[in-house]
Amino acid sequence: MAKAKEGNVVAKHVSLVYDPLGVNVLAVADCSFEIEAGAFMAIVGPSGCGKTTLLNMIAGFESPTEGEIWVDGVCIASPTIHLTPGPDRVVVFQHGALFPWRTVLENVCWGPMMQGTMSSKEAIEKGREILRVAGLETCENEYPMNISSGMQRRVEIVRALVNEPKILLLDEPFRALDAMTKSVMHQYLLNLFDMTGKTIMFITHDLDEAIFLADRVFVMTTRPGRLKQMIEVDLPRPRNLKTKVTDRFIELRNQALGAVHEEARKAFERGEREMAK
Amino acid sequence: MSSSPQEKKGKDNFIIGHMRDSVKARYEEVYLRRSIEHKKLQIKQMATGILGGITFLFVWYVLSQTIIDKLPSPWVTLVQSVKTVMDPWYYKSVYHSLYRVLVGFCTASALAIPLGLMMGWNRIVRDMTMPGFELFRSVPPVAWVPLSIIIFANMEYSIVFITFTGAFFVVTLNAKLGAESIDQSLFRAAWCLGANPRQIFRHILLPGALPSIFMGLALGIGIAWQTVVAAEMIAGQYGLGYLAWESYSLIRFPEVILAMASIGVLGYLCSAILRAIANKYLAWRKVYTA
Repeated sequence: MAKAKEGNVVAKHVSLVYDPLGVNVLAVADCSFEIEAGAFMAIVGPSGCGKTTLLNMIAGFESPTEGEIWVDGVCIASPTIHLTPGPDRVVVFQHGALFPWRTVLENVCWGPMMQGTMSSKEAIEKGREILRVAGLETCENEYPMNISSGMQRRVEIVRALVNEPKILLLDEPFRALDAMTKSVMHQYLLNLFDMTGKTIMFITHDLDEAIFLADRVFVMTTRPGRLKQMIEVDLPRPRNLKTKVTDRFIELRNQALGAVHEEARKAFERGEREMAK
Repeated sequence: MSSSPQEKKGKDNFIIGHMRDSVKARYEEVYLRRSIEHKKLQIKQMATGILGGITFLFVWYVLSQTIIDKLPSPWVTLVQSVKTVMDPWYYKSVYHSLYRVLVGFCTASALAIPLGLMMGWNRIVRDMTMPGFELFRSVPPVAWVPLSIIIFANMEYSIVFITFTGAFFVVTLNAKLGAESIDQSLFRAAWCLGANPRQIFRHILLPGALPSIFMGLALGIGIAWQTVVAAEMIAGQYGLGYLAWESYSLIRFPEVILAMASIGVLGYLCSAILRAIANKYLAWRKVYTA
């Protein structure tokens, strides 16, 4: 895949205000960052800090109240430009969103078939091919409910990649997995990342996961979410399990741990206060 | 591999393919024993069912001979029924009831499913239709009889229309419920993958709501049968409801029971066909556990 790198994302002073029932809630406040084309960025923050909101704005599910989002030098979203979701920015969801009434193969070919970029025969061929590369060809005729949750996540990532997106948006995709499956999935995702060179934005509340996977970790404050700390991860690629025990990894982790913990505590205390009201 | 009963099960075949011969023989033995036990259980269940049927007939016979002496005994009913069933006139009744139910039910479904899905999907459609729906839903179908006779003048159309109202509301509301129960991230995923609204309707909304739609259809066809019989008794010519009422007037009590049983059998058949179709389209919901 020796194409000119695309998928450069720039967020300029992005804010979003929710207005449920006339009570304004500032979900994201003045976030600015850049994801270089082909880079892996992770966003870490306590629950309810606006991580997913940030991702939703890039995906096109929500429009920013203030600020702009640029992709490859084009402003795609601002308070006046309402972005619609599309196959160049595919999301992998927190709880999984495979279509349960479609087999694995049908799920994977779904995107190209709906967009009409390929005939159904071509789409099926390409789907088979990519499932084989991903090591999932044995379950291509199974329904999603009949395969393990780890497999489901892999299929979902593959389903996103078939569309050749500029950016892959991962919204806590491994949240519901057990620790062992998770570590296998990390390796799997890193392999895919090294192979395809796609820009990835990865949301998580697990700092270790973020440092292990990403080139850059964006730590967010508790609501309203703003930039707390930016960590440049200079661990060499390809990474593997041993990376997690290197001195550099532990050093990076210790640098950020204090900040993440502080925000988590604030979020927890605010939760208690809101309960008490 | 030999053509053993295992041939049927793909997953088992895969397992057996990786077994040593000694283990394979043992496995086949266990499998055979298990299938025999399963057969035995089935026979036992069937026998219990038959016993229940015999008990029912016996109670019926005793009642018809003692307390409820107007009630024809099972034997008299059977003999008279066989005679009636040979008569083409009986099939005219069956045909009319079936025709009314099917036309009313199918028209209702064809309108109710898209409407219900739109109500569950689109806020404007929901807000526009829901108040009226809540109002009309609580009107029992039979209460529509006088009005529909006024509107249609023709008896046949008015009975079909009453059947229609019986099925329409329950199918619509279940389709709406089904549309609302679909996980929002499926819609978002479909957007991301580049689908347009028409494709989302066809590929997300419809299959996602299908379990609930079939629930509505099963309820709807039941209500359609109840309604058609009531309508025929009040205003009908021909039809099984009419047959039951007419036989009562002519003091032909076995035919009353025959008409009732016919309605039961036809209603059951309709549900069974619906269930078979549902099983075909909802195969994805079956979870295979080890």
